[in-house]
Amino acid sequence: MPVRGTKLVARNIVKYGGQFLKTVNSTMKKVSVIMDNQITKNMSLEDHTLQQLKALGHPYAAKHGPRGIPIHDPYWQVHKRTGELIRSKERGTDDASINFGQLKAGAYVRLDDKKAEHANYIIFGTSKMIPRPLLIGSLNQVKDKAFKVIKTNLKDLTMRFVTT
Amino acid sequence: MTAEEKVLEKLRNVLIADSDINGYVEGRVYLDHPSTIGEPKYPAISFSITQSIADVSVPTQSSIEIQIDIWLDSTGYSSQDLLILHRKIRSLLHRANLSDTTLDLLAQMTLESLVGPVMYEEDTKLLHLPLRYKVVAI
Repeated sequence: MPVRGTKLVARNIVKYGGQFLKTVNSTMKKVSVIMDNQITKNMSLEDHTLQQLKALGHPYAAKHGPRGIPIHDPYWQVHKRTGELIRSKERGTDDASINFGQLKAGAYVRLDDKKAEHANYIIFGTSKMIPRPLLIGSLNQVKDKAFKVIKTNLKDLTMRFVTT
Repeated sequence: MTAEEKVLEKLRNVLIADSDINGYVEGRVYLDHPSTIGEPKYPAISFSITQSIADVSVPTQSSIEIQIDIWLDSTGYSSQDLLILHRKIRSLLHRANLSDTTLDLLAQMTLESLVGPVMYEEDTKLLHLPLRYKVVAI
């Protein structure tokens, strides 16, 4: 039986104390790891050297079309070079909180453009290079898996709220 | 025309019809990336489809993710102009229902999903602001 209405959620969270928020936080941490693993995989291609990409006619040049020359699938995957881009990656969670009866929590993975200046140019493209939506593309790949983790970890707790 | 082509055509028509936007771009709302155009001129707006998924349960429906790029020559414009154009585009497209019978578009809902950073290209001296929109078209 699902929880319906913010009053019910708020009342039960008060009753059960901080344990619920701890469970939400640990679940979101699992989600962030799922996202991180997928993003790392998608930005670690080592199947082409820079010389090979040049010989292929710069596959990510936008003059070849919105997805460049298809040399891998999905087209937005990124090759690993110096490792700077991977080192710029950060993952974390926004602590669960209750505001006006609404539960808020979050998990994120981001690239820090102060650590890797070229990160934004890869993700959003340039006047010559296609955008490669690596982060959102990776998230779409693991969305179902992440939802399943949330459902599995929070379902029992949610049901307990209703039945007591 | 494919669903994607219809959507881009509609978005282009909406942006060009706005006098503030057209005051900047003078008709240069490109349906493709500017590098596919011989000698692109700026200011300009261009579209790129980053994802397109046909809905299996509704054969004529497509969910499309579009990047809308605003390009300005930094020698004549500032990042403030980028933000003015962004505000205008958002007011026209965010949460808009852009049905158009002349394009055989029954329903097209658009939603702004992301506003990228203001970027600068040293070699071309271009200012660039990428926006992402989700579009559901039938």
